[in-house]
Amino acid sequence: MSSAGQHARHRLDEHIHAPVRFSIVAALAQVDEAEFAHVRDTIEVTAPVLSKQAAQLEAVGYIKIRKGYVGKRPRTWLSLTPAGRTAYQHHLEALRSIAAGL
Amino acid sequence: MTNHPTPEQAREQLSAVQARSITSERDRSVHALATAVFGATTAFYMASQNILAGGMAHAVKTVAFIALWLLVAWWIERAAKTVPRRARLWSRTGIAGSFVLSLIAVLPWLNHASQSADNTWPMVALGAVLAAAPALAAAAAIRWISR
Repeated sequence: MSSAGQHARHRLDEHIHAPVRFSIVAALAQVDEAEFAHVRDTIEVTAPVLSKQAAQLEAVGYIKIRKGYVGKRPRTWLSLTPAGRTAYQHHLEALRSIAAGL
Repeated sequence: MTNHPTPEQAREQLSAVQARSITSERDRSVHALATAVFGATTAFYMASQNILAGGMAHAVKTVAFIALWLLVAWWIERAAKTVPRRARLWSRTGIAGSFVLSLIAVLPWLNHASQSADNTWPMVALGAVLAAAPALAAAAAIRWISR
């Protein structure tokens, strides 16, 4: 829905709009936390691509990256921050408005 | 994709979001089971304070309790690839609820009852079931409600 004379496209979040970052955020929005390898497999990207895009989302405060160990194996967990969750909701609303032709 | 998606592209993106699920029934079951075990263990530990009051019995019970908690924590880290939405909130609330219910209702009842006669195992079982109820409810919520 347009507000203050702005088309919904102006409310798309530039950090989420890129396809891979959109997939990452959309996946993480469904959970509290997800393992890096599982996110990689779910959104079908390579580890370096996910790592780079996740770092960009972390830099703008949208996701949190937690590194730890399970036994002796290093493991990385990704989660959406409250700011990231809010931004994703706004982005989805803008997409719905565009999809509805508003 | 352009910077300004068409309505058709926007619909495709929204459809893709709905079609792809990262969490699984298995992860829900893992977190639900862990919450139930944490809650039931805590409830039993608290409810058996009087009946397993001897030095050795108490020590064995405490070691078993800690070992089971650590084992479940170890298992969750390996078995689950995601933490389902709000699972942590449900779990912590349920386990804390079981602990508090033990402190304010079950233990006072068992302590009061032990003034006249020793606690029996059926009484301990009843107290443990009552105390575990919040954690078991949280486990059910993780498994079937929280999505």
